Amino acid sequence: MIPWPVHYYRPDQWADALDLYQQLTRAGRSPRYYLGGTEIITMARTDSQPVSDLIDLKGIPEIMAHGQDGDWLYWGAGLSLARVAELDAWPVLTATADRVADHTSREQITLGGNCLSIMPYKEALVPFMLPDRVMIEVATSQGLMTVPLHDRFDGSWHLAPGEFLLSLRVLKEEARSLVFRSYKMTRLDWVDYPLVTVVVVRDPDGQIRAGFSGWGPHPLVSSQVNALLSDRSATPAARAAAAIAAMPTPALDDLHASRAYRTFVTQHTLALIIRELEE
Amino acid sequence: MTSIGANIPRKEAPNKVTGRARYTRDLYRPGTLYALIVPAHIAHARLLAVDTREARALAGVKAVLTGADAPFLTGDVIEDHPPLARDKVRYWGEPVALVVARDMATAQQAAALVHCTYDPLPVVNSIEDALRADAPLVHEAVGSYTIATPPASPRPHSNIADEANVTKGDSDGALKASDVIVQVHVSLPQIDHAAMEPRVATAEILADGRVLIETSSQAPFEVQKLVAQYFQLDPGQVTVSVPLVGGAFGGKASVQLEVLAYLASHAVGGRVVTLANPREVDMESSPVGLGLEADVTLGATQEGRLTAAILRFYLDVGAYADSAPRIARAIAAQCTGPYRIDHVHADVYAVYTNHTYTTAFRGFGHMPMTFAIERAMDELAQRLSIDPLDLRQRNALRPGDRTPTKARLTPSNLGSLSETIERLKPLIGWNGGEPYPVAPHRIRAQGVAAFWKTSSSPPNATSGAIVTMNADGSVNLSIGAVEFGSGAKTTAAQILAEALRIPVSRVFIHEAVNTDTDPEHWKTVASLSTYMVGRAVLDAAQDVVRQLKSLAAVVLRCAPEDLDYGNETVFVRDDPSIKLTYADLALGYQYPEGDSIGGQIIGRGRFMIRHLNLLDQETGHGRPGPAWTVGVQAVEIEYDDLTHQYRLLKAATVLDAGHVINPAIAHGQVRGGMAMGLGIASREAVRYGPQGEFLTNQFRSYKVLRLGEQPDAYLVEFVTNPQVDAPFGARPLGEHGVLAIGAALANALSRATNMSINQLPITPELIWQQRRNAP
Repeated sequence: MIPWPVHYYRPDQWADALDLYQQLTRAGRSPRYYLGGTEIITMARTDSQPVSDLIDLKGIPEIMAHGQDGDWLYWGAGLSLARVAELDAWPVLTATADRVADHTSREQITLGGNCLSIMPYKEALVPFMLPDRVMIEVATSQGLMTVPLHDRFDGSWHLAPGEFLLSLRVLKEEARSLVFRSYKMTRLDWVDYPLVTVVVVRDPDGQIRAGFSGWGPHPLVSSQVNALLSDRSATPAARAAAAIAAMPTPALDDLHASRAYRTFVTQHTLALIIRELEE
Repeated sequence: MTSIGANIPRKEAPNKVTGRARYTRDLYRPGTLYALIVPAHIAHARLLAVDTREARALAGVKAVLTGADAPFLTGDVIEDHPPLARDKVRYWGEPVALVVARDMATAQQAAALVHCTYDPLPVVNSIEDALRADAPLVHEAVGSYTIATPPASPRPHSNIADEANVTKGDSDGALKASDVIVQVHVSLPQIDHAAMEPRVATAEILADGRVLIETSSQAPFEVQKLVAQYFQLDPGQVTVSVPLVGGAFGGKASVQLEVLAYLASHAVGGRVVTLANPREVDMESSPVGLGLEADVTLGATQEGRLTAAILRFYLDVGAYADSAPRIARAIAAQCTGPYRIDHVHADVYAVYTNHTYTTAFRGFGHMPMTFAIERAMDELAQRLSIDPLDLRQRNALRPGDRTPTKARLTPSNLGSLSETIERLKPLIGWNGGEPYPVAPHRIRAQGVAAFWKTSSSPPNATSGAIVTMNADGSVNLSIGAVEFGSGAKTTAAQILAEALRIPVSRVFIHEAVNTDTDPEHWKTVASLSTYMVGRAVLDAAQDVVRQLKSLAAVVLRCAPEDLDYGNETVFVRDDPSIKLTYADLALGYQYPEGDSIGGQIIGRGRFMIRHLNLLDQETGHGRPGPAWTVGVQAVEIEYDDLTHQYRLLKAATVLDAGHVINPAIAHGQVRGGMAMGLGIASREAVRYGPQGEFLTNQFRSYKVLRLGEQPDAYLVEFVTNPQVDAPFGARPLGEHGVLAIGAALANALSRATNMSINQLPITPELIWQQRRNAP
């Protein structure tokens, strides 16, 4: 619960949400956009800088939309992860989104909230880091902009104050052409933060791309790692070992797992996935 | 009658499952103020100053208290504990201030505005740290504290809060003469009670000097006594009431928030103040369960007969002693596990560290103690190539044997471990303990472990029961035991119903405990409610029956001895048609002419534990409890030797229940114990950073077993050798499901991995690490 009073707004147009954010900021308040609320609410108990105003974006039609737009599949940022999995429009997204938290929480956690989480994991974002063409729709003071994901996300998000994510889009044909595996490895429990979530896709040319959540402070994809993983002259185990050695940052060392163990788990999972994908 | 042995649903079940049950936090009185603990975020430091000015200046803040406002020491056994840190901070999370405000939000804001100035001290971050010759002292004055409840032996100028020893026979000599010797070192972290309801207490001081405390506690009468003592009040001035408690597990047997809530109320002119722990504070500031390092040496003959045991237990009790001296003695008294060993020496040390202080935890030290013994037993079985169940069967304590403290064992006070072992075999499908592959890299294995436990209660523990009869012949039952989920109230109602030969639905039981109106029950701990409350209830029932008969005898013009009772009637034995109903007699009997005799039927009953004594400080000899409950547990797992992940397939318990009063509740208690024990053994640990930082103060980081992560099957069976002096022969079984299941898991995984896993929790990482370090 949030133990202090907050002002709650629920605009029904994206432009109103932006205006509201600017107005409140100018008035010296500290507004936050609100979708599922699982982070804002659970973190509030220990927050020493309490949020004063919540702008709930779920009233904005575009943010709750999903479907097909020409050659593109799209998902509104306000869809719950449970809904995303239910729609099952892109199996690798389904598999990855469906392993976040537990089902009760996934009914609340949204796609946008997960992608922009303050936690390091952001698992639902990982599938979107793998195809060649992924676009996001952002509400900005210049209007709605549709830009490549990597323009605004390179490990961290680059959104100006007040800007927010409306939707994510992938090319249907490319999305459907990818063979995939998505494995979440935890310390022990089925429901827990990932030691690592490894999402691997293989394109029709046999090239492998791997995305990692939990390895580092942000989800990551490395072209060097992908090149090593795609080298079919080596065994899956050797490719996994080479990929681990080439990871751009060392693995996290935290309460959930030591660096060495997280490395072992990641390498084991990678080797397993490559074997499965190429069998 | 059929109340005993029937699956009577818990009396409070309908309210619980519909969300209507009332807990302490649900009681609201207008004008309530809210208090919040300000925890220290340093583990060991001189506390130079606590600046409360900014916090006090915040609108809505009514008071901010610091150690200066509470210039006295508290403690169940050793008075070593200032309610709010004074001069020194001894653990991360220790309360340094208490803010009182008009609402929770203001209290939370104010708490962030309390500023402490510390002079950091070197941190005693482990038992090993604490025992070093040059170790910093957690308590400089350890030798001069008042011992409120002897015995306790703090060692001056050390971090030893207490030590307890037990000696029987010549352990050194017997060990030398043994054919085989095994040695095991085990290491267990502190754990959290993780009750669903965090601790909460409300206090109010009335104009007439009466103090009203509502609290989520297992020990309302202890709260009454200690609050009266600390604040120089008459105990009768202090009324403590406890509604339903949302889980306790020993963590609510300690008195902490009640003292702080009183201080807070006192600071605001006696107004009602509620002090409710947020989960984080509940985990880091309120007591947890102790950690353990232990060395076990067992000697045996080639045939697997135990000959000697030398045991050393070091308890990480954290910054304050609380119940540790009692727990140390409980461990010493049962140190061998349920086995006959003629030559024993055990030393138990309660060690101060700069960790969160500890208190009782389900099993009262027997769970970690059992882990140590049962790992050693399995090592011995491996060494001798004996079936681990057979090894336990060969050494099982039997009537006529004596415990490590030389207490005499009888069929009544011991029951039969031997029978439970035989029953376990078909229940789990025992295969002798050999691991076997079920698929490439998949290995299945079973592990077993046995336990025993007695109450380790003070020798003067007492309990009472009051029965009043309603006009219609139904009865109200008042007892002092708290309902925290164990079914204590329902069990008491069943016992009364049986004794009065009425249906359980005709017994109305006070759900809350109130020290003003309910008779004293020592504490709702040690699985003793059925035994102690049950005996008091039987005593009260006899009193009721005696009153019914003596009144009916007058009306029916016969001797009371001519009368019998049943079906809510008192009737003449040889002509049951001559009778009176309970309703006719309940509020006195009125003759048809109108004149009346008698008065309300009010039965009173009481019980006091007998024949117990404090263990001799030199030899440790004595009788620590009225009876032992024995049993054996098993776990079956499937282990993947590539990933080191494992799955729990089955968990089983067979215990000697004496007699089962409510099978559904008994099964639930034992299953719940297994779930808790498996969670502890597989994932739970309080973790500290290099400077003693408390790292696991949420369920994000302190992992408990979730629904869906339990074994595929929980199997429970009871054997029934009655405890003669217990109601209907029923033995205690509330805690016992937790005791050996962790050891059984470790034994199964040790077999599956072919390594000795002597540490908890057993995560795949632990197995991987141990495999990697293996020579």
